[in-house]
Amino acid sequence: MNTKELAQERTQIFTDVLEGKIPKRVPVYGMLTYEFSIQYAGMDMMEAQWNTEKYFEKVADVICRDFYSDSFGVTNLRFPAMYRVLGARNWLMGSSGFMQHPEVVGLEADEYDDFIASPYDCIIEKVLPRLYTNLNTDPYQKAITMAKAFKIFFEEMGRVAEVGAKLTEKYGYGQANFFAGACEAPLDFVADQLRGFKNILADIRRMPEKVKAAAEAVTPVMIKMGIPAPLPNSAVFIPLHMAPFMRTKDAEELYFPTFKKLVDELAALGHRCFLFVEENFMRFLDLLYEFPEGTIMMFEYGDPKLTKEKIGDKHIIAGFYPVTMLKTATKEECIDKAKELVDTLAPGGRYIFTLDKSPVSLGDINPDNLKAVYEYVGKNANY
Amino acid sequence: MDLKSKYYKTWEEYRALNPDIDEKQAKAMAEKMQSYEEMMFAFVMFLCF
Repeated sequence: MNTKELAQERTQIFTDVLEGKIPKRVPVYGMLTYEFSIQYAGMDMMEAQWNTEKYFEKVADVICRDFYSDSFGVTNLRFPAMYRVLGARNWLMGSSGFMQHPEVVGLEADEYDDFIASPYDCIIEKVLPRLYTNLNTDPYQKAITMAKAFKIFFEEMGRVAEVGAKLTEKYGYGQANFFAGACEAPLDFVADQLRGFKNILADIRRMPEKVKAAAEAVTPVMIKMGIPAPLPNSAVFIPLHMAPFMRTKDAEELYFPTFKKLVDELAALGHRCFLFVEENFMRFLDLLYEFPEGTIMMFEYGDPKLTKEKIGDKHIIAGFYPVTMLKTATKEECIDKAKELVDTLAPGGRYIFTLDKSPVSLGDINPDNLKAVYEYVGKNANY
Repeated sequence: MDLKSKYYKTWEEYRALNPDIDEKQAKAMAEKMQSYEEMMFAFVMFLCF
């Protein structure tokens, strides 16, 4: 099979899964971070992080050469030059060259009303100057900083897309663009970089009405943010954070209504969502079932069998493969785990093979185990 | 999507604030001007993502 035929077959298996049909085989959606990939490729972390124009394609090409996947799977979202220019407090490069994400507070408790009145204005006027020190200065410096950062952002995003397209053609990858857009569940957005993890949990207890109003106010902004680029087999990436840390009653009242509205509205506009269901959402499976049919849900932890039983007839399941196992287990044990997950989740279709999360650094896994697992599923998980 | 903000304008809102733009020019520039508005919105939101 040449690369064009291979690409057609791979696109078709993704299309079939997304349309609820049983594909020829289980698609493998590989996802490896740029940082992991730099280490695997044996390149200098600092050089490669700062000089993506020289390194991103080289690094990604090594990954494509060595790791089976049915789609291009090297991700890069955190651009050091942009964060440095902005004087970022939320994304900092460590001495090893890895980007780190400390807890930050972009919105003070007494600013909820401003946020609720106009989330986007509040983000520009109050949140960004707190997260980015070079936006907390005189208007001229701010304008110059924004201009530089804007250029870096689109240059880097363009590079990821361009290299992705080039290597997709070279390696005969299928079209599966599950990061064609991105946004957050409204309450997660309020939590992550606005109030912070600790503060939001306190706010939920002390002023739940403000938290609810803030999530409602930002929902239209999240819908707009999520609208994806017009690509084949596209989806809007939504990483989920707070619900597992909330009491069920609080999650039902404060987290899920605006989250469901977001996914419903995007579906009404013709856009599918790709939820990264982080931590353990098993107690929310009934709520997830109510989401628009064909939503892709990549689970981190939980019970694959229960998930298949509860939502597998309506949604597309991915994830559950424990990345930690790739470090400690033997190759045979790793492949056996993949077999077990395929046996549980593949019957009837609506299944895409992914890990439960991407390994962050090379030390997180034995790469030979990951190669063996991807290869096994790609070559053997036939219907 | 209805986004009311000092810092984001739809083409219609922009046009209303700039009545000097004639019809011919408006037709030629609308798509490009709106695309820059959308790019800035995407960029600003990414900074909180």
